[in-house]
Amino acid sequence: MDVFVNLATGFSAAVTLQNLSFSLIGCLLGTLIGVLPGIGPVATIAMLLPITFGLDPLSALIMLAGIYYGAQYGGSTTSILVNMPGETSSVVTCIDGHQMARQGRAGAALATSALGSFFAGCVGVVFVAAFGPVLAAFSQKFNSPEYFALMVLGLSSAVVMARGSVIKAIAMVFLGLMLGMVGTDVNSGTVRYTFGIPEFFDRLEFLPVVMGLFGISEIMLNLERPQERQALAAKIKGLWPTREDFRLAWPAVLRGTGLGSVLGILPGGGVVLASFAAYTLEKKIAKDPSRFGKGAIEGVAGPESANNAAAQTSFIPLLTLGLPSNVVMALMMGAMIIHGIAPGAAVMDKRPDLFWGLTASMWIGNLMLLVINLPLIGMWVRLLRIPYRLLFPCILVFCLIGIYTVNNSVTDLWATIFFAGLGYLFYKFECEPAPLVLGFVLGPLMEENLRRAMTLSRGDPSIFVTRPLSAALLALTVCVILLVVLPQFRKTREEAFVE
Amino acid sequence: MLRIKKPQDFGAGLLFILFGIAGLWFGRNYAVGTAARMGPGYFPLMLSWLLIAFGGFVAARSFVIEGPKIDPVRWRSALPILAAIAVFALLIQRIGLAVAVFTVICIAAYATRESRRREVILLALFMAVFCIGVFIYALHQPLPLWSED
Repeated sequence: MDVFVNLATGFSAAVTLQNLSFSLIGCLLGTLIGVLPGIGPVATIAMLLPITFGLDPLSALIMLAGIYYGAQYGGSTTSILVNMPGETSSVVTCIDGHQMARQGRAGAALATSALGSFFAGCVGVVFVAAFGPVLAAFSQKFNSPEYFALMVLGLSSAVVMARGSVIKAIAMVFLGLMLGMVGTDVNSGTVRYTFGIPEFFDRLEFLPVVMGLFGISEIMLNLERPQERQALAAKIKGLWPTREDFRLAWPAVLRGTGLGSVLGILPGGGVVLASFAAYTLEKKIAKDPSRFGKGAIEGVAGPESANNAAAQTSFIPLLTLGLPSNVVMALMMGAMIIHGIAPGAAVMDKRPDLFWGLTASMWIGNLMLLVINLPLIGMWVRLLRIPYRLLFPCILVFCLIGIYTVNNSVTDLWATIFFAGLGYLFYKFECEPAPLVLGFVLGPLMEENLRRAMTLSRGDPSIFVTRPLSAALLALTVCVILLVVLPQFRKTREEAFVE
Repeated sequence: MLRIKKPQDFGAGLLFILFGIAGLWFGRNYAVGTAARMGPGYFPLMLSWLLIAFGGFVAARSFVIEGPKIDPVRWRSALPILAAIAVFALLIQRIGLAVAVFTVICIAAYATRESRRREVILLALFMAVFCIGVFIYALHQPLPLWSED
């Protein structure tokens, strides 16, 4: 029962006054930005990244992780009470959650969502604890061809999971890889695509790209849309769900948790897909699907559990293989690198306190969220009254200070303008930026492993199919791509995104 | 006559092609090497060609499949935000954090019609003080409060 011994190590690392307070700060901040629309975990983690430089790495990661899963809790609160999703992952919660609130069952909806999330979070943590070491051990057998194949698999699934056209998503991956090429080539020392700007000699800084594409261009787009705000939130009567609610909700929580845990691990999957898929699943298997959209509690329990489970399990590929599965994980990877930790299987060997401490802190954080969330709902809702015209200048300022303080570099600010404009254009052209970011992060790693693999085989590309592990990974890639091409799945994929 | 039926894809395709061509042009002097010993140009040039190919396909497809019009660019909300960043970049090292924050907020406020003058100035003052308190005094970030020269 190594898992329990390891978890004990983790808890002893996570339960220090400092780490507990950073976990609390992370959870509170996460809930706050989850409640506020127009700012998501990506921008917040990016903003706070420079502040964590002075912290001990474990505390820093604990806080940043707290922001991520805290946002999943916060997002659901506003979805239910005011029909305004604070996060994309709780868009589906609006459908039935807000209907429940209008019927005076807001309390039941909130409690179901909090309890379901807590349960899912716990299962997610166990998932991380159980599968992490297995995957890490498995990855010891990996050599460069396998790593290359794994990245091909990861990027392909990111493409499949992206909204909209698959061809455009593939092109976005290539563009991301291309941006990853900026900087000095480690093998030959050639400086590539830097236009003589010394700040780019190392590589293109991560924050300007992510903040430009997500944070800043999001502000520009939010300002274009007319702001609609419902001034008054539904009254909360009685927090506790009825017995009937429980009977309907718990199987949905179980299904959501299972689905979310699996989808979270998939590269490119993550919380948004998990919640959408869970809603579709609940609607499909319900005896009376017409109840959905009119306040069906399963429509809250399923997606809310799923997005929280996925938030936990999406740490698995990063912590064991060193591969970020979504943009938030790419940021976490950046945070680890800044703190001098190379993400991957070695983390578990060399810094067991870090891996297990982070895992344990997630469970603690989920507990904190359950306790702080329900009593504080009134306060969160009041925050919603802050109009966006006052909010967006503050978000912008925090973003800029965050970007600047990483390197004290003005060049990074100019790069941000470029990527903000680019992100704005991508939106107008309906190109999803997430695959680009993953490509950008993986670019140098992918080139490195491709080179090594080809040197290993003396230029023979068949090395990728003759080695069993890499062949298996590539076969999986083909399956993933086939899924999009086959009409059956294609329909479900489109449905899942439309709803 | 050929007609662009899906302007979004046409634009996206052109953008990809543009990046591909830029990749080829600026990478023209990088050694390609062989498959067994890849030079610094091998991977990026391959990517550039792939970008051109996929961009070309997306752009060509826009003549065949129908799609909605491109949502128009609203300069009024886009430009002030970008300008605010530029001003921050110009001011932060020369004048310091206090003035930079104040100016960013005042410029960004132009992005929406809803802004009210007095409210914006109060917000800008508050944020300038708040940022100094949090980032310089509490978090000890290496930001210049006022520039020395």
